[in-house]
Amino acid sequence: MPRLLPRSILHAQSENPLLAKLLPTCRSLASARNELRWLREHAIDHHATERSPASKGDNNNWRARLKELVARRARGEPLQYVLGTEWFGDLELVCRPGVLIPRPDTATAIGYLVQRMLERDPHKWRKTLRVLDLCTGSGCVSLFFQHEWIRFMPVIPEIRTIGVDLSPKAISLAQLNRDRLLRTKHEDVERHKASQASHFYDTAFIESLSNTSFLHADVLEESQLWQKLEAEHSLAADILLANPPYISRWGFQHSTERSVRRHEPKMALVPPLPFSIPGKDCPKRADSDDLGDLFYEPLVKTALKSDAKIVWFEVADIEQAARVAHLITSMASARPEQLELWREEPMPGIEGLEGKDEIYQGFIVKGRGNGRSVVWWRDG
Amino acid sequence: MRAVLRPRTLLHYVRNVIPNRQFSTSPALLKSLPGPLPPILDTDITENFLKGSGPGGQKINKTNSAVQILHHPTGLIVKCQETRSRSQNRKIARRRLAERIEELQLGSEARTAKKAAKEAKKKSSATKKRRRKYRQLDAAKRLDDNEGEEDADDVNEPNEVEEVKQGKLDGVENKDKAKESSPGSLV
Repeated sequence: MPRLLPRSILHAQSENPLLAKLLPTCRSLASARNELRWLREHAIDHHATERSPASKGDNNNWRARLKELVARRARGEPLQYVLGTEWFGDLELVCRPGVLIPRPDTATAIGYLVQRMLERDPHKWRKTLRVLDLCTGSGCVSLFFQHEWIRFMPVIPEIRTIGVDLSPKAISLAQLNRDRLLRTKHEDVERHKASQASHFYDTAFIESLSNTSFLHADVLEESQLWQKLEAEHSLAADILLANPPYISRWGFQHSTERSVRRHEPKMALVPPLPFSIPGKDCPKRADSDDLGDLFYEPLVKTALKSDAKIVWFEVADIEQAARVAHLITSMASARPEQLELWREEPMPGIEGLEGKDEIYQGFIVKGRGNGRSVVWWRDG
Repeated sequence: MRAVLRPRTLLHYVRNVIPNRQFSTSPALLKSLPGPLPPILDTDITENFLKGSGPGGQKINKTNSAVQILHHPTGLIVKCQETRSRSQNRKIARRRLAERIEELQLGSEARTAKKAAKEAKKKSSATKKRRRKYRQLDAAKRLDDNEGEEDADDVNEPNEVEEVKQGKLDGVENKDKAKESSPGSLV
């Protein structure tokens, strides 16, 4: 982390004392300015909803509230917990301490997944589409996948989505996010009764949101998970999505941002210790016992059991992506051509028009940035 | 020749022009509405999410939602970091880029240029009004001072000046009233 220059601290102080408070957390003037603007908008908006907008002394009250918000952010609390929401693609989702904040990389990957399904065979999915989202957290992947499907796919079948998480906090937040979207979409339908195009989209989204449920279960205990899913008549799936905890204990100590380590739930970031290696808390460096890969084996088993046609897993980096791809080829005897490793920006850029894909350890790699996900086209 | 031609043009007018005329109770649009912004092809641009290097995913929680677009045919670069939503920033950046391209194509006829011209006109008219107001206030004050020295026993006129001052200070609504009793007419 580069040191803050005294010059930039003075500059911030002279511009706005609150800006200087944010600077150590935000690390740059531009980012501090943006966050201060968003915090101010939030303070004013909330103030307006709490009281009648014309009440006296309004001005000072939102300023006091802004000061509190800035103090919280300056202590390193994630901006999304301070503001209470985060944008995930076009969806605004509620964030609460105890549940992982949705990351933009995940939204990019899900958007690209739908785009690729559109390019491959958009008319294939005519029957009920069953989506299984394991380690759902805030519900972001479940909710965004159906949103993108309805927005881009020419055929909209009945979509049944089920999200699974071990944390009760995550389950209740995911349900809250689903209900909140349902409410806003109902309001949109009321408001835009005349406009046909958005009405069609909104009603389809309302229907698929009503077919979305969240289940409390442990993904690592696959037989119990299958029983629970069977009881809900939802073990069979067409699409399996998972963003499990994937950071190694070494990576958590050395390459994970401090604000993430201190404020976000560790159970959503680092897989638990397998029982075979007791008492190993923080190894000196990444070794074969500590790769953060614990979740992928039960995930592949569930993918096989549910007979999913398209499988997407998020991973930490290109090395883990290759390890997961090797795991899939060995466990499920999948052909390497069925697998793709995606980077943070998987979509082809201008240079991608040349049509040459990078190959890493025998697997196709798409896009630019760090390795971010593994996609298994079981139907391909 | 004329006698032959005229009925034809009249007929043409009755048959073609009148039926095509739009009858409407609202006043006609004097200014033509601007056409749609030029479309931006996905193949012409490179989008950059400006997030720097280093680890990502669950390890980092960045609040940077900035989007930068490079338009290859023109070499224009547009950046947007207004909102917390990257997809909203993308939309804003695309619209801004389309406006910039239109500016290049149409010059002073582009909507941004027209808008800027309108704003400038508004501003200059506002400054003109402000200047006029202070000139009048100054004049009224000078008059007030002069009368204090010369015409102390006159009851009527200072009141009238007082009214001018009040009207002007209250703002724009009383502008016309103040104009009528401008200092010039008092002397």
